[in-house]
Amino acid sequence: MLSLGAIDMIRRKQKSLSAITQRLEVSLSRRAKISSSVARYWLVFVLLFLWAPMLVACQTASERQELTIAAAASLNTTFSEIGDAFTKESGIPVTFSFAATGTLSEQIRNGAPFDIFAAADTAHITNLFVEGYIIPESRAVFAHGLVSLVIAPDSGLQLKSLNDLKNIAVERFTIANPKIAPYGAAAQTIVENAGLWTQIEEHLVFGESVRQSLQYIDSGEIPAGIIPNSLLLDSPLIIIPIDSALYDPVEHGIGIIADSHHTAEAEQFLNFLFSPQGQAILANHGLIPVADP
Amino acid sequence: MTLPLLLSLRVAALSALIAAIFGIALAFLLANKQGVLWHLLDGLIHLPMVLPPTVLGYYLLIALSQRSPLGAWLSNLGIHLTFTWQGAVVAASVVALPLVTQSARAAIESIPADLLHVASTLGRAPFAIFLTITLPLAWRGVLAGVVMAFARALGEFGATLMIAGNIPGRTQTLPIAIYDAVQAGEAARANQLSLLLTGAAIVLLVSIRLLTNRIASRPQRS
Amino acid sequence: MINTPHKLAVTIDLMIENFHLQANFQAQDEIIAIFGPSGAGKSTILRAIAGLVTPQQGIIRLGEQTLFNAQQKINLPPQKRNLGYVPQNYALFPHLSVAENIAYGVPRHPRHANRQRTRELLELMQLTAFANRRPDELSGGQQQRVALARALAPQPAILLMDEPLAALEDSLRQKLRAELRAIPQRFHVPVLLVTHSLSEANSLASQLVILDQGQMCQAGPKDEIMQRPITPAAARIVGMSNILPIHAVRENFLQWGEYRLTVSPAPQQEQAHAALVVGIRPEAIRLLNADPARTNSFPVQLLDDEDFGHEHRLTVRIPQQQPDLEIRIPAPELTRLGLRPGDKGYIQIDPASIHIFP
Repeated sequence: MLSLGAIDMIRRKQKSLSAITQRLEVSLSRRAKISSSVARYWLVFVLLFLWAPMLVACQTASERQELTIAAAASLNTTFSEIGDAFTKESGIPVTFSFAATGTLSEQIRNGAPFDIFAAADTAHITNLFVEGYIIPESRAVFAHGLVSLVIAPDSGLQLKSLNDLKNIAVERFTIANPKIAPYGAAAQTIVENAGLWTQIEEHLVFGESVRQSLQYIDSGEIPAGIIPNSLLLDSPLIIIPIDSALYDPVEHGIGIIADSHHTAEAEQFLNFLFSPQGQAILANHGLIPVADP
Repeated sequence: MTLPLLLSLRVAALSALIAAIFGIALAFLLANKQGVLWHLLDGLIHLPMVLPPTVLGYYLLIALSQRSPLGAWLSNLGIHLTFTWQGAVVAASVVALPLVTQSARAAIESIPADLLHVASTLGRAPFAIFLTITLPLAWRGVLAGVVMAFARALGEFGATLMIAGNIPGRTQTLPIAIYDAVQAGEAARANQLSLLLTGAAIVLLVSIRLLTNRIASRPQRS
Repeated sequence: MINTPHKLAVTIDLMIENFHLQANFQAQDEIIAIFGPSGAGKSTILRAIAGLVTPQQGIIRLGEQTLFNAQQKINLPPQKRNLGYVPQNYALFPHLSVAENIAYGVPRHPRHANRQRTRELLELMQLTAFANRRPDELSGGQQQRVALARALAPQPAILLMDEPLAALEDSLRQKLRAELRAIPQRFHVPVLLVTHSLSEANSLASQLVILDQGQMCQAGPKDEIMQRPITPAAARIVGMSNILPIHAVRENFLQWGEYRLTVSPAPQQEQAHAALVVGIRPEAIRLLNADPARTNSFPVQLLDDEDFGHEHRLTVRIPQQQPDLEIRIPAPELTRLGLRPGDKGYIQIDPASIHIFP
């Protein structure tokens, strides 16, 4: 909410504004009688909009030096914590924009002002690099991710493993949209390799990102789905591991955006990510670090 | 929580201002001009009311992205309209424009033609008449349209998400912050933000109703 | 008197939807009235002169200035025509005060001149006390004075008024007729007005333009048109309601069915053909109790009596003769005669009042 100081400032500005307009109106009506009635109508319009530029002035402070990081939705909690730790250490504020890897990569192509892109695969990073949107030497893999079968506790589903889906019918089952979310693609591979695709396909609900799929299960809307482990820290849901033979762990690639004006800070962030402290946070959130902490 | 609210207010106020300027001008032209091209323009302005926001956002993204000639030209001038709050203003303005145009046009067309005829025989040019007669007499309708545009801009989501993205502190308006909070499972934040937006919407709707009621109850002169 | 009122010359041909309007007249007088039944296109002529509608063909000139010429593609916008326009409902600007309404058409610079002119008109129209009122706080007569003052403020070359008295109560009309008649001399401006009321046209104007169903019938001095309309249609519009077919003419005798009408002066040689039509104004026929034994007196039976208060309109029939005749007679005279529908009486027609259509 607005701080008291800000409210006071706005009040003072409004006071001086109304004083100005009053004077304006007086001088207008003195000048010519005809203007006065018409001028009054116009003042309403002018007054109505005087505060808009004021808001612009108020807000410029938020566009200061900082890192803006586009991160795959599966990294939501993980990177929030890494960001906090990084800001604490370096003093550089970090802002995250979380969405499906495919969505973010399209935004980067359209000129989104990100400094770093942390994806949930390497293919999107590679494509962007080929198209010139990523600084080549900044590309790296910073972690691997696994997924689990997740069940809403109040759904009453009695699943012990993925294979039980062969016998127990689920009304609806959620994975992230495989076209834009690498974890969704991984989930699809798992279901296919487990020989469940034909059975589950018609019950599938695609989340726009893994965050949305998780939200569906969290809210009890959908009883079960496949969710990355990195989103399941402290989760109250029933979590059933998935046989690692069914899929390859998801490779998390990262890169610095070519248009970034903060490449030095971005490198600093990458260094932090690969530092023991950074890798430890990744591990805490259920990711497999690339370097042993 | 303050940041998305302030950003939303800023975007909505500027969008309403832009929509007001263009909307009033268009309403004036549409109320006065005849012909196929004007009908076409009329339809074009109202497209955002029927098109899904995603289509609108997609068009804007194509038109304004740095890969398009227009976007590249603007970018050369130092104007970046994709994934900036200014982009959100563009999206909200386009969505809000038909609301101003429609309301202003209805108000303008309800002014008796005789008043404007007399004004023109009194030696005033059409634009002067517009400023001194038309707008002052139509101001309630115009204002209702502008407030409606403000409300619509405040709630704009789909097209904004596509053209401005979801960058906290920069392009994360109130509706997008709500979407983000829901996706991240932050129920408390989602609740707070939603209540805030609902409150603002109610205040705006009531003021529109007051404005339009006064129009309806204003005594008619024969 | 106005030294030289601007001559107004109008030739227009105009189609609006399915309505075809044609008019061609010249006028140069203090008050000119366009007169005709409702829907005749009177207001449209006014609006065409003001530049608010554009005719397809024609020329409109005011004094030396061409306002409109279709062939030369001249079409001055209303704001350049220098004329005052007072529509039927006055169209006062509801959001402006009386003073602001009047000042609207006065050039704003220099400011003292603007204020001076506004004050002047407020005084002339006795509106000074209402200068700061809004139009909806005024009576009908006050509203009309504001509309007049506003139209006169820019000193127009002509004042156009659409049904100036139609929106007013009867009691006010008489007073305002006198005020309207005085306008040309008080403000040095000719007036072209539109009315559907014959008595209004008669009492206000010295020149008339007669319009019927979009077609102009006749234009000219009032007395000329009232006494000598050129067609039966124009005659009916100006109240010459008795139109009689004549079968034969000999010298100054007209054969009307069984009866013979004496006319003076005698018809011209070229008028003396078989299919002649004459018109007689209803007030030109005298009603009598007894046979006056004079020219053009006939026995009649009273068929119908329509009471207008101050006068009566009677329908009478001459035995074995068609059509029935219409008579207008002052109320006291009818009372004196004591005739009622069904009674028999006599009429007498002044030979000079029989109008032979050309």
